[in-house]
Amino acid sequence: MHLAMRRLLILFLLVFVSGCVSGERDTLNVVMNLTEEEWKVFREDVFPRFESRYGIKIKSYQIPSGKLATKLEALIHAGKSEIDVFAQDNMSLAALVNKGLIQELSAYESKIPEAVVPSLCRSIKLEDKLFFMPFRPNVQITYINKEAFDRYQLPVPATWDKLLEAAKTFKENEGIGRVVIKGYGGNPTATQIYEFILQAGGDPYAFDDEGCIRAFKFLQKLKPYLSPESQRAKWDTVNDILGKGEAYIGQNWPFGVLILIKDYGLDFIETYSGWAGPAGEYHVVGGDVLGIPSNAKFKEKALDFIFFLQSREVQEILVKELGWPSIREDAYAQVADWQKPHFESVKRALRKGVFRKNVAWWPAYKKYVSRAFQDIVMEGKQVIPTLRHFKKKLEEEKALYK
Amino acid sequence: MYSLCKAYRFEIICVLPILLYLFVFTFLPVAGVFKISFTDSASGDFTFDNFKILLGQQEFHTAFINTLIIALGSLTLEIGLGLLLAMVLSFQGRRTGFLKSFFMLPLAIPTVVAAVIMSYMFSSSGWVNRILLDLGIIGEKILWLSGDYKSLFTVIVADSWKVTPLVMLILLAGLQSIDRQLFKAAKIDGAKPFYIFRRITLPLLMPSITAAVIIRGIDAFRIFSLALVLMGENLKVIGTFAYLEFSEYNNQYLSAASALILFLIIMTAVLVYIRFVGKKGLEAT
Amino acid sequence: MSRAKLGAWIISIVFVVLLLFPLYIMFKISVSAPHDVFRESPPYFIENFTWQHFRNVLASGEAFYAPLSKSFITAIAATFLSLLIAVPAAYGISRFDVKLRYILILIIFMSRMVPEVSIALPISITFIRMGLFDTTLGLVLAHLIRILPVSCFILVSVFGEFPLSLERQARIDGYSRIGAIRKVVLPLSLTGLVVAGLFSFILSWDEFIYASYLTLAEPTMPIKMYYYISRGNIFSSATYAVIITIPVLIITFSLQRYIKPEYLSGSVKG
Repeated sequence: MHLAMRRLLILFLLVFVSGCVSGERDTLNVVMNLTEEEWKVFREDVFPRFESRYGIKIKSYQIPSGKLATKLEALIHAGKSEIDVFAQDNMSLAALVNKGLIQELSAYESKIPEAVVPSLCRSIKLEDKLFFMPFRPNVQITYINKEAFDRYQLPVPATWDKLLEAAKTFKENEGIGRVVIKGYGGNPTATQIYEFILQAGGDPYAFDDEGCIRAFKFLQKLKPYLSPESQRAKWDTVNDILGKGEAYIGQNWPFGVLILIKDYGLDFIETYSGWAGPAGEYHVVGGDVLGIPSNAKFKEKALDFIFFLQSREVQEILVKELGWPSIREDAYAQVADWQKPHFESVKRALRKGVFRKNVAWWPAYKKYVSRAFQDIVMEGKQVIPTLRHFKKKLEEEKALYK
Repeated sequence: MYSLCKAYRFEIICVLPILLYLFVFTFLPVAGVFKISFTDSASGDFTFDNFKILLGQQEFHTAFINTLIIALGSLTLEIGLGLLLAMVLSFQGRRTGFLKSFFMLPLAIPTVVAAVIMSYMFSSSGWVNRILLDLGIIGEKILWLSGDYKSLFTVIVADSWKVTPLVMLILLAGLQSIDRQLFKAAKIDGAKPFYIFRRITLPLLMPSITAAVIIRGIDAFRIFSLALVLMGENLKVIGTFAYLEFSEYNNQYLSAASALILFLIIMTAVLVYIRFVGKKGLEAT
Repeated sequence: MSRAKLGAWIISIVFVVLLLFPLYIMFKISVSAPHDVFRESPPYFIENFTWQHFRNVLASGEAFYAPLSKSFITAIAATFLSLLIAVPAAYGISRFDVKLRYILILIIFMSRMVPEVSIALPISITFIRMGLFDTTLGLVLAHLIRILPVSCFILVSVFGEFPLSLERQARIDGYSRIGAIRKVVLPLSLTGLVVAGLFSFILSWDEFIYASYLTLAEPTMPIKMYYYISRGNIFSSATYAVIITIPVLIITFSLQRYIKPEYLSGSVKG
């Protein structure tokens, strides 16, 4: 018994130690932040092509957006090189650059395929240096329940006023609000408010300028007619809320098309680019960019991988299988007929797209702008004093990022 | 002192590793939390600012009150139901072995899994609404998870689902250790059941209740997984507030300050309970 | 059967149903076809049974096996380490005089009063600097914070019940102190050791808080489940919930005989 126990212990320790100190790595390690369905397409359709062509295995990791800097920092302290290439949310880039965790890629700008929309590259340059490569532009489109709009003979709302009108009609007829706004907090709420402020002609980071005030006042006016589900609505839940018919109109990224129309088979869902505010129609361009950590082991292969992901071949797969908007103009050729109207919505929204300024203190911004939303819109507090209050909090917290 | 060390030399060596471990992984981190929460984020100097900022935030006040309500509410519900169940089971006598097995089930469910299950139960198209609608108790769906007082209730119920059986088992063990003869004697003397409960059962059960209250009370204040998975941003307790400040909003200073406040609340609660209700449970060793 | 007895049975059966129903729902979702879940009023019983969600999870390859093996290796390592520390500690504590024993148990119990969030935050920051962040070793060390008090309490009561006379007899027979422990105390307390070990395993297996502070790219099973639930993926989360729960259920029920309620909470009543 004792001998057996001891053997077991030694065996186990060996396994454990060997697990910790594994030998030289010979895989290309890739980090992305994707949903389960997206990972499936990458694992089955994208990675194998690269592996067979370039003779290197790919190992992939899921890291939530905004957490990459922490991971890279830890790896550098540990003296380990575990990540060769990453895709990262375009709002979480400042920390990576400021902390010197990634490589400058300006030298490779010329190798970016010509079909890639040039404005995308310009938008992610920091002080004229290129640290990231375009990978996936993203823009939210607006989903509507066509049946419900037809029932009340409502047009697709093209402006704030029309949106308010539709919201009132639903509420009057059904006794419950049917317009969903993402009120959960954090990134979904902050991004949404950013867009409303742009449409009102304000500078979102100013926090309390004319446009900000106008946007919040409008949201406050809209509040009584909002779906009660708005409180817990974020990107993941909006699909369900629309799918179950708990709301008739709401914004979300284009991946909702695949889930609502392809997976759930809900043919009453239609899309369009979205409404315009008093200052016009604007949409926040989100999405992911690619980069290489400063201590990557396989830099050359990582670059190969980046250009592979930018190739028409891969972009066509992503468009077709995942409904992603593409960085390339020429990637939409194989789109199925049912997808075409939705890509038209996406393209139109992208044409009205605005890139957010990359600030290191985005985490603090999203916190306080969500709280302002909670207080002003959900609880009906006064607009201007509340905005000033949270602006002060934000200014205090910016000290963290110096 | 020296003789003590000599007499127990072997035992002291035995105990050293765990003390060392507790020092490094509990004492030092707590000291670390102290340090971070009194550090100025920009200059690194000593400061009270983090607490000033924290206490000036509506969001933290809400989290603070939520924590108190949830902790006290779930504790009351769990002890009450646990006591009722323990009485019922001990009343049923010996044939309850298989019933007891059923009550073990939630204990065997990891807390985070319990949270996931509860999110299926309480979502607006979930099973709680479904059953209440089918029974005709409510007319339309209730939004349990929207972050208001109903959500506090939801968290309390969800926590009780997982924990009441544990409280029940502790109290049942206590009940079964009470001498049956006492009850018989009281009955012969003509005491009413409620009188027996108040004058005999409850006092003799007090050590077990104290143990259950302290054990559960501490965990009730530390509530985390359940609140995070069920409510996330919609309803914060101090635990999830501290977590979200750190991981979502990148502010370790506010996170540390709120974690420290939570620690102090727990210490105070335990001390207050021991001071006013007694320390019999602690002396049971 | 008297009316009171009947009432008692009704109460306990109502509670059993309340306890079982949510578990049934978890299992039901994990084996239901999507259209049985995404419809206006889903059926109470499993109508269209399918293993598809389990097949999907198993087919996701690395995405499933990496967390599984991470959780498993972490739990095994934590179990061994916790026994390595807790066995001598519990033995030592159970052999001190009453007063010292009380103080030590109180110290260990006090460590449970510290909320996890205030331990995890500084550890996470330190681990990032030490390169232990997002590693198995780091997570094992953190899990021990949760495990040690519980396994220690279990073992103190095991060694406390061990007849001292047997140990003395072994010493008289010529064994050294360590010899007596190895040849007499430990073999005869084997059941208690196994119970403590299995509990340590469970406590690490389903741990969530430290894992959410200390892991990123290499999640454990509970963290992976949280990823699915926060992404709104109901079938994967239910399937993971079932997979995480099964070993815990098996272990708890096979140990039912040995479980004293205070073990589960690491109570002061050691």
